[in-house]
Amino acid sequence: MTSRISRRSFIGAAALTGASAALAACGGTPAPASGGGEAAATSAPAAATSETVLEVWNNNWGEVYNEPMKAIGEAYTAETGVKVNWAFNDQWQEKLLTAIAGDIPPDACYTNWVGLPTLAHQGTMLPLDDYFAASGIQSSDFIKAMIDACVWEGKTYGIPGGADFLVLHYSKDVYEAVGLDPEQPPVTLADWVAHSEAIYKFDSAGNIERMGMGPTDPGLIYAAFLFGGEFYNTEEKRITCNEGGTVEALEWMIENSQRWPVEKVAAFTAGMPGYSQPNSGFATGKVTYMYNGYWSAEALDKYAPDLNYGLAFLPTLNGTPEERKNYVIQGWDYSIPAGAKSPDAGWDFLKYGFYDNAADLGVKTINGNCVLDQMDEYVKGVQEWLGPENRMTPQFSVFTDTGAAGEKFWPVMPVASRYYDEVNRAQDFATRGEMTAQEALDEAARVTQEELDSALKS
Amino acid sequence: MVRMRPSVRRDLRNGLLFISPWLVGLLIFTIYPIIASVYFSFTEYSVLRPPRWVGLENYITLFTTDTLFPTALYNTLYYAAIALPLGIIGSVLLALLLNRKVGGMSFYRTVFYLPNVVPTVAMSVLWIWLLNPNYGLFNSILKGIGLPGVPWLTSPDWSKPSLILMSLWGIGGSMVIYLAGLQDIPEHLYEAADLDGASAWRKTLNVTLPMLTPTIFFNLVMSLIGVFSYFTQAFIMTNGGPLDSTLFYMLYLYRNAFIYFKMGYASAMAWILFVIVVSLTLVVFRSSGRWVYYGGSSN
Repeated sequence: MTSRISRRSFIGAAALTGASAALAACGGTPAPASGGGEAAATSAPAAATSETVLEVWNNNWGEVYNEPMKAIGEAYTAETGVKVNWAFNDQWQEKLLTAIAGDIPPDACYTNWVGLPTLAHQGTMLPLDDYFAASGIQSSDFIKAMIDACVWEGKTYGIPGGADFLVLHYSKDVYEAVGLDPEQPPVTLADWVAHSEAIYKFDSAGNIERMGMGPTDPGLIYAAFLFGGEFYNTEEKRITCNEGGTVEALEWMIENSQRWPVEKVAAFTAGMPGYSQPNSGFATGKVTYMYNGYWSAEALDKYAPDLNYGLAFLPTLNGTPEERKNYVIQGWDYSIPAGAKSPDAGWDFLKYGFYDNAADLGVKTINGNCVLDQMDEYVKGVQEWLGPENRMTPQFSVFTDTGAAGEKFWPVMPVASRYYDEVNRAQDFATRGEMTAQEALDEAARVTQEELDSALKS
Repeated sequence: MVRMRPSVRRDLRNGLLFISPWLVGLLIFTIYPIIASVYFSFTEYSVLRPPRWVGLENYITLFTTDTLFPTALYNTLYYAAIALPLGIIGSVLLALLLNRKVGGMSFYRTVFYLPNVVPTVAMSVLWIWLLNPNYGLFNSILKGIGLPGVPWLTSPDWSKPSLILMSLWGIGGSMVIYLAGLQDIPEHLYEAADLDGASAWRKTLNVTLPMLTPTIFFNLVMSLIGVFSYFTQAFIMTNGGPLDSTLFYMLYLYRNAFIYFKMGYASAMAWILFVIVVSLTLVVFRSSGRWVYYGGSSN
């Protein structure tokens, strides 16, 4: 039977639909969380039930990471009945930004050390201090640099999810080939340069055939701290990248780029497969050093089973163990956006995955565990995963010792992303001979300070 | 006041009703954001917080203290000034070549059009390999003829020319439009030229090109808009480097909007770009009276 719709009711329905769509699209900016747990108190969180479905957003690092994440979600569902819906996004920050702006944020989400402070400053992340206190979790339970990187203006906005313990991988095969002692990796920065001088090999046209350290290794972000530099004065809210050790670190990198020009190195490494692919520079002996985490084991076992490589602490200025506190520890965090439908349930899941089962998740995701009293369990798990015969197993303590020693992290501030980009620009301009270290870092400091002052005013 | 007859009013209402899905979409997803962006350009707006009125501050900052803004503008103008004329000349020449009446022409036309059906992201990844200084096809050819390799995307001197070279790969899209324009040129004009004893070069210069100018005009305007919104290739292939040499206007705008949470600032950038593009388009339109020939017009 065909039902007739009058013209009047058709027009009325069309108008209603249009108006609804217009109202939905023109919804205003969501009210930011006022901070200090008030947002949690006023958002009337729904209690988790077996009907609750948690939306959890993550960065997309591929199946190697996504599958363990899904597995921990399934384990949580088996225990609590609460379903966990993971979404893995390549452009996580852009998607999170639009979801928060559209007032449809997930219940929990991945953030990182440059994105979190900006989001926290904008009032779009819930402070988690009340949750930490209610769960009996202390800041001191975590690796210091990882938890400190989650704190903005005295409040904690994230729970550490995984830490990157980066150490120097070096090819013992190359060391032997050039007459260096393969059991004596560089300890000081001067050693590293001297070893590299012996390793670099050029063809008759001056093109690189084998490289030692890169002229910009290990990157100004890491090198600055080794020279005693700091990027930020928290008390004075002042950008300090153009002072002291950071300038010295960049001058050292300029010296290195005069030995091994950046453009030549860029041409040599362009298109070279990365460490996780077959025929990487490190696996083939074209590149001698790699600054990486222990996840490298998987690819090295698969694609370079015969490579004789060693692990060493990142060289420091004087080569003393005390200087290892200047290592940067960074990683990823999880937070709860303001306006999340089920923040309590979101927290319960984050606690389950990244605190209660931190060691297990660290092993499964091949990442650094952040909870200190689970470190033994974590090391045992990793060594089981590696197996007793693995080349990395006897040297694994270099990773955990690096994690235990490092205290430095990228400054927590609302313009952390911009600052990071500006410092990298300064490095690029200075090491390509376009500016002096001081000029490049003055410019980075000027731009970032203006941005910071403006952000802090608003 | 003119009163419409009921039937006209009914037709108008029904017409509006039928186009209402498009109309609603246009109002919500195009007109509203455009108007809103004018307002946001005078505010400090992160999307995450309500906008705060700052007057002309965004515009003043862009023109006074932001050192990356002139770099981004220069890079875009450089690209536009070279890629645009090269693209037009290349696609007209290609269309002239493929307009000849010889066998297998459909095959060649398809071959030259094919790059346009490749997604931009896939094309960018492919060109990263073609331009690779060690293993890339271009340097292999150069080395094969005894010339030194070029650091295509790794040198600030070569990065923009590399992207311009790559843009020529996509001239097949315009070529198809020029082909349509060429086939629309009346045959009797060529017959008249033949009777006058015109050479092939003369016929091209005095018949083909003048009759093709409306198509060139159309493509010029469309390409003008395209080159100023150049983004994807630079985002994927170089991300603005080395040394900001491929930091194009839209890439810098994107960073401000989505990475630095400065949507108000990005809106101001968008409006400056709009003014530039509109101004240049107006210049093209104004000048068109002098160089665009419409066969049917009295001029």
